[in-house]
Amino acid sequence: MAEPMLSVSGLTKTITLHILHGAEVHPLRDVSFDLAPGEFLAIAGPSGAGKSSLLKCLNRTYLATAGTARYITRAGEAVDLFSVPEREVVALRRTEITYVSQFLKAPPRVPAVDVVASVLTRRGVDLEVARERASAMLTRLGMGPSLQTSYPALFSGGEQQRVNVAKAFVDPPRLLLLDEPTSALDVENRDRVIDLLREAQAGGTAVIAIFHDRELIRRLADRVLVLADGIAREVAPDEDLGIADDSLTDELMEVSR
Amino acid sequence: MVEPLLRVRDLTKIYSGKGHHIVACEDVSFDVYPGEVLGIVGESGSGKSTVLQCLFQDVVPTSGAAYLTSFHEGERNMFEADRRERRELRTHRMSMVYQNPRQGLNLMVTAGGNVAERLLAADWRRVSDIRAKASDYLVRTEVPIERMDDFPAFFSGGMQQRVQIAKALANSPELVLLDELTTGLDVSVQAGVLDLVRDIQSRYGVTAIIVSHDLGVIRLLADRTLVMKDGHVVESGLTDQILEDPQHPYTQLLVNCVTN
Repeated sequence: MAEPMLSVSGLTKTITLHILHGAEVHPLRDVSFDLAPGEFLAIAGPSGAGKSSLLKCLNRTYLATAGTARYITRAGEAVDLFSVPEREVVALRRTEITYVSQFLKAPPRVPAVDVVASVLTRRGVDLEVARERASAMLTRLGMGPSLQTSYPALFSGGEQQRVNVAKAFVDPPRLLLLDEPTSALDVENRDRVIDLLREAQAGGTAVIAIFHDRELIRRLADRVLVLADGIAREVAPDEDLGIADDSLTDELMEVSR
Repeated sequence: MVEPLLRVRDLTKIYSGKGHHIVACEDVSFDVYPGEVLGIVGESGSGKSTVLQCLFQDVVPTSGAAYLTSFHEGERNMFEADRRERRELRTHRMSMVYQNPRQGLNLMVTAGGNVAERLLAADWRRVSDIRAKASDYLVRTEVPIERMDDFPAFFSGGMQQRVQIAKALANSPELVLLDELTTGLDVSVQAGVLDLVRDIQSRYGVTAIIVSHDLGVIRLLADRTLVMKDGHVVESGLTDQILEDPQHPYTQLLVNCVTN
């Protein structure tokens, strides 16, 4: 395996709910893994297992309670994503780490094409060029001109998810954190996302993605991290994941087709 | 590594007199980096507006320091500026958009005249330049050009705020201070003013401190956020972290009070 780009060690997240008399929640306990450039790590596990918390800790939307995430930047500098100054997190998010949440959080009253173009303009791309590239990506994801100039707040779940996916792939980052990127998509659009993921990987993007769909994991993942009650174990993509609701999810996916 | 544009250290303002001793803000410290929008959120009386008023030299702090990179190479405390320097800080380097447009505008001077006043104060001299710049900024802030020679006293609240924003930005100050800029406006007008500020920020990379009790405003505009309560900063962080993983009991309460 190549030199890891990301090395997570002992990640523990504890949330103290002061408004609930100091109750504690433990989404993640002592999670460790490595990730090489261009590698695809799938995260699987039942709801509430800590999957989203893991991505949010790497994005610094959550503060890790313990552990380190050693990340080698494009410039070759090693930083700990859990403790690097906020200013550098802002810069890393702008240039090389992209987190795509499960549900689109688009700013209000901004057309879909501009939501996607903003990823590029923040990286210094000229507005007109950014709009063209954003539009091409949305078109590739099956969104016509009238949808592109409409506000995502008015969209269906699947359309919002495609805007979110377009943000991830319009200029693939070095590290891509995806939270169920295909959960609301039909088969055709799901296959388009798979193509985009493969292209990004071929370009060197390392991916950590939460998936419920076994088939997708088999097709895409190099390795799988299974989470249960915040504890992680690593399995191969074609192994039985040993998750109680695994088969149920498969059935649901069948029904939804 | 980029240096901060503004460094604030241990800013304290205590109003004391016969029989009263009110701590408006105490030991407030933070940095603002170039191109960044810093949010300050908290309930009324938390001291957040006092911080802005001290920075803009409207209020004399009890103690503390603030260093602006361009002011004596960032080595001289702004709070120790003499009268001439204070004026220069307010006219050339910083600008303020007040919650109440009456504080930021002369309502009996035309909209164009208000922006021109700011440019004159910043040593602009040619009338034609001033007029062109004033109309340019009123257009950018979507004030109808035919209203340029009308008095803001007869404008709606939303349009008064737009004129204030035009005035605050016209001479491209290094730091813009925004105090509850949408409070008191109805929601559709709020949306227009917020879109305007967001658009200007993304196009021109203005460095700003925005004070609001409204987490929606902070979510939309701020990169990083300070949470204030009873005159103290209780928490600070990336805005999405403050909203999704608040650490302090007060912040958790605040985030859970948002209805949507």
